[in-house]
Amino acid sequence: MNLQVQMWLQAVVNGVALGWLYIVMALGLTWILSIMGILQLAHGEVYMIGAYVVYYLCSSLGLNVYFSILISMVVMAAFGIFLERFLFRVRADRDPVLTPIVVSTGLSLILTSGAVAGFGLYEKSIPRLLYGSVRLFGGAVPKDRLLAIIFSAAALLLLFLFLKRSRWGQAIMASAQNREGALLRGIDPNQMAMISMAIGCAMAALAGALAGSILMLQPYMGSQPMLKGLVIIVLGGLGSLPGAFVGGMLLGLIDGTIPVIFGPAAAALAPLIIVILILLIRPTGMFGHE
Amino acid sequence: MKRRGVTLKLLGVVLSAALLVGAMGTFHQTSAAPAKHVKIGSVMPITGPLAVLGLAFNRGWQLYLDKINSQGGLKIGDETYLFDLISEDSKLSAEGASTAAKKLINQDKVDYVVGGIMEFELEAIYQATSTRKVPFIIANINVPGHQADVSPKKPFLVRLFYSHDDSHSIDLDYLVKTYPKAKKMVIVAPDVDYDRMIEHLTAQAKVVGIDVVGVGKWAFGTTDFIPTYTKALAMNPEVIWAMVSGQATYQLMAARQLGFKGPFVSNVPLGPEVFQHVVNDPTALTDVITNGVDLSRPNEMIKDVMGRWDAKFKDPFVSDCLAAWDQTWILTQAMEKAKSVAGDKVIAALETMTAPGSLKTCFGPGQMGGAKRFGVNRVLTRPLPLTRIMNGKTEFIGFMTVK
Amino acid sequence: MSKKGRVNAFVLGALALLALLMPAILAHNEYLISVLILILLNILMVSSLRTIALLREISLGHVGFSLIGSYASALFMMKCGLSFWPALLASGLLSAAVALILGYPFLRVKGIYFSILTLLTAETFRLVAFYWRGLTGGTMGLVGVPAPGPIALPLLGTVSFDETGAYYYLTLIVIAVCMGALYLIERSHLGFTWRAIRNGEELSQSVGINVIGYKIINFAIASFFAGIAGSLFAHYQRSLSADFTSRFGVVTSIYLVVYMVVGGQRSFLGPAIGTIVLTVISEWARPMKEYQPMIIGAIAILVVLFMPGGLVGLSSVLGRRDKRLESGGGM
Repeated sequence: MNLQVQMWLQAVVNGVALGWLYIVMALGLTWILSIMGILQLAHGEVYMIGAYVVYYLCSSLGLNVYFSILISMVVMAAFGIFLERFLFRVRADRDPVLTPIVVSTGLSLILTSGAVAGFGLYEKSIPRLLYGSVRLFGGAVPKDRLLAIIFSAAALLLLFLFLKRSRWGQAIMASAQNREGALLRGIDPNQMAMISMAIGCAMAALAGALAGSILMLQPYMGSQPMLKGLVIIVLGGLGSLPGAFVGGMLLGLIDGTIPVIFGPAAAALAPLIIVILILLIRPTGMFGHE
Repeated sequence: MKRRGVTLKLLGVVLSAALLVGAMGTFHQTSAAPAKHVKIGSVMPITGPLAVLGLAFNRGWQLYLDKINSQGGLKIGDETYLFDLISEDSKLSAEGASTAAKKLINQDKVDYVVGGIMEFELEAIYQATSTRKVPFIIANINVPGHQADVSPKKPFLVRLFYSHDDSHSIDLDYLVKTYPKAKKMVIVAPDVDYDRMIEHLTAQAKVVGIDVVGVGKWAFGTTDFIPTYTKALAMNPEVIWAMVSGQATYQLMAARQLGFKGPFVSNVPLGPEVFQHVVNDPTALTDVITNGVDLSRPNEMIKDVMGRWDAKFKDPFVSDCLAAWDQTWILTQAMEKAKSVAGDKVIAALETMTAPGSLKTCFGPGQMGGAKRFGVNRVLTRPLPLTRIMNGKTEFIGFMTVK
Repeated sequence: MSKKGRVNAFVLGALALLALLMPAILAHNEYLISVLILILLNILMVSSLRTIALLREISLGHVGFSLIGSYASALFMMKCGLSFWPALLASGLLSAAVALILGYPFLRVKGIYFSILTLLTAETFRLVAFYWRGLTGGTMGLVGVPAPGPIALPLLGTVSFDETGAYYYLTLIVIAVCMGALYLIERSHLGFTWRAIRNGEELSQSVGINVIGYKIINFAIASFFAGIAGSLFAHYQRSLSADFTSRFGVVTSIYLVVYMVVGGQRSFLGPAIGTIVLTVISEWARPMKEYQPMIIGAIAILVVLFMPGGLVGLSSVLGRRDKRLESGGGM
């Protein structure tokens, strides 16, 4: 096959694989942002701790990787509930925008220092899920990234079903779209907040665990994905699941192809400029509400 | 009413702040150094993504100083000197490095400052040390010849870390000998100012018959190298040269995952044990050439350092600490030559130690040099380890002398 | 002058005296004085951030304008041959100009979107500075930024600003003037209008206030002072770099917000108090080494959860006590 075309195809395939990972990360963030209205700046650290929990379960307790990932998601969901109840609950005397920013910043500092104290500075790795690569559409896709795609897609599907089919899911959707209206219908915003945090943190843990097995673990691994998550939720719009999906895919494709064609400067700037333009033209993002 | 409360409170807070700041002075102040202590201050990132390196260097300096202190100190003439290491966090920023250096100089009254990883840290530290004429020992540099590097216009500055391009001739010779059929090379480098090093390598490669067909650049901070290597492999290289990157392990994995089977050269001191630990795909660990030392075949000196590390620290040994150990060791060797611990005399002594073998290091005999390239003989040159990893097994080739 | 006025003047005078005497108090310890300089710069940054907060908008990209100020001032002196004071003013004006241009599209965006927008914009500025080798030195950074030229003063002879002590006084004077200006602006018609807009945007619009115009002016003024702070920083640090961990990165922007909220953004001097307290604690916690960030994080969380008005809010306790003693005098 023509070398240029092959390179392009590989780039696109890379992008799609990356995109799925980003989507899971962004999903958690967009939940918390749209339902609780807060910018959870420590989301990247939740992602990081989720990965470290898997590391601990695999290396110290010798548990199976997949099982560890599931446990980590549950643990981080519980952690999320704890965070909502004690750190992020809205109260009358607290500024609703500023307080979460400061609290989550403080939390992020504590979690990174805690990870350093608990796990040390050295890079760690989670057992690779699969070895080798497959050839797909003219490009080589590492098998573990394929598996990550499947897991992410499954998580997305489950979340979608939960929202559409279960009562709680519908209550959350209602709450996200119209807070006051939901209140009038008797939906408890605190309960909605707790569930959202739980789901958001579980998603972050999944993304962290998958990234940890594909890339690496270190206490500062959360900041870059956090920035990407922010970009995606703006691209796709708040409170929108399809938005997070499209946004994640778009960013994944950009991140997969632009470095290949243009180089690192463009790769860094392109997503930011695109998002800034979108924010200016359509502040609620591609699919956002309110 | 509220305003008066505010102003009173403000007065109270500012007064307390002033007292606290003043108290900070006395609280941290180590006592004025008696003539028999030499204080060395270190400025390294202790928090942040490069903290592992900061940790390893601090430990390397500390271990050597522990050794010399336990032997009763350094005897110069009638005096005996003990050494103290005081380490501060640069927070990987220019202001952080600057504040840390100023604290070491003005508060702790150190005699020497050592440290810095990024060029902006070196710049900031030197600005603080040069005004007080405190010698600054550069512990690491990414871009030799950068404005932050040694030069005749910068007194009280010396670099006890080798220039990365010293590794070029060593690695190229080995490459040509072991992989004679690899004639097309792609260099993959971080997008910092490595252009001169890349040009240098290209020219040197041409001399031994290797053509550099392309250069792939990636942004500093990249963790996912699949896009970069997608582009690099599109140029169909027979050998890949991953230039000076602590991320070489991830680069190797990306290259192999995308199907690259040729030799992979990583001219950075990353040890083979790091490759084996991080690269969790056994099929990738082959045909890897690195300038890291094989810790399973240490020489006497390295064995000594490793033993001391294991006795004092629980974490596994990080070979970067060897470079740091050498730095404090070389400092004391220069002090012996100068017959003084004074900074200006010590640096002057270092400048005379240019004959091959003038300095002892863990890697073999070395010397100072750099007059031709930098204008002053204030850069360390010493042998570099050469290791190959084949089918998951480390083959240590040796400590190669730099030409 | 009223009794209250006299107390305030006395307190301000005492503070001014204290500030002037600090270098002597600190025994000319260059490290401590340099910490003071950074505190002063941050006070201006955080106070001008608060100006934007008067409109109930949180900018997470304030450092972006500081970056413009820093690089512009450095380049004005290095490439255009300007001397310090014109460069200082010009870089402040440039930052304000950029804010004016960006203002119209930016300020139509509100709330959390505005915050994210400003964050990404500052990151964009930083990346441009990081990669534009020709202009800013790119990844190599900009070195050799000159200090302000020496000036001759009566009684003191020639003062060289290479020296930290002298630079402290320079910074002190500039910051004091800027803070005075901010205070006056806030109590002027402009500030009054901003508060009106904050309390009811649609209402303000309906009585004929050009809401977007006032918002843009607010943004430009805040950015002007960020630019000034940036310029002072450039000629103090004498080298600039735009790495992710540098002063111009996202993390700094967020820290500025933390300083503002911990100090208390409802009061004019709240941000200053927050900056002083947190910086001092941060330096004081140096022996904690890698655990130092944890301490700051814990303090930030505790203050913001349990002292909603920030540290300044503690004064309301004192104030209430005074209120009971007074017989209800006016403001």
